[in-house]
Amino acid sequence: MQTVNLDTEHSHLSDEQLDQYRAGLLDDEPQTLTLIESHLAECSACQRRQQQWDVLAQNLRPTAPNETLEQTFESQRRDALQAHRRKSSYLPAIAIAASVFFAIIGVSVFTVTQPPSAPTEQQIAVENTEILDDIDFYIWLSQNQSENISNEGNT
Amino acid sequence: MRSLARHIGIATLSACLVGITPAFAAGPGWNQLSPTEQRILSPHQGNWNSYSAQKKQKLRYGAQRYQNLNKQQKQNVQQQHQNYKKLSPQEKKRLREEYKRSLR
Repeated sequence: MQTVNLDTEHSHLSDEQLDQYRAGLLDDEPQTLTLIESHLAECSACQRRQQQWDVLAQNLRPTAPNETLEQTFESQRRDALQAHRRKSSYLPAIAIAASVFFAIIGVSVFTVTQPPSAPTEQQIAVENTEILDDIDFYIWLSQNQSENISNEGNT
Repeated sequence: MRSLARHIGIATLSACLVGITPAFAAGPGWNQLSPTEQRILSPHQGNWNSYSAQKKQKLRYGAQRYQNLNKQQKQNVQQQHQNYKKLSPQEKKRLREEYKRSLR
């Protein structure tokens, strides 16, 4: 690409001029600025060069086009931290759910494995009465246990 | 006058009989049981005095028979009692009839 003076027709902007323009270094030189802008308006080649730079700059700032690189990094870091916090915020709920689950499992296992509660005095008295009231019958039953079982098997 | 004395005598005798009869009918008090009977019948201690004489006699007979069993026989009797409770009414009836037949 040919770097020429702006005063010359059919010449193109130099990379340095374009850089200065993009960096705003020519803002204090209205005359030069006007010349560059009018050239950019007419010259498609310089427009493409300028647009290529815009595309490159856009790719460097995917999340916030108007931010500086440091601000971009900062915003990305903030986003990452927030995502981590969102993940962390689920941890207490998960821990509580797990605790409740294991508590239910524990109580169930304890209830199932717990031996039956001791009979009350009233139950003992009833059992005692039933046996002693009919002691001869239960003695007869225990003596004829095998015979009774075999009879039940036949019926 | 003689008739009045006769009535008084009958009333006195009746009163004495009424007062004495419950003491006999109620059977022995708890403290009159032997230590072994008290041990076997201990679940009934609280209600013993409210039992009829017949019930007391039956329980004492049962306690006496029970105490004569050895440990294995006692366990068998308790096991049979538990098994019997789980039987259907028909099975209970069959066993009762068998038991009655065995007594003849």
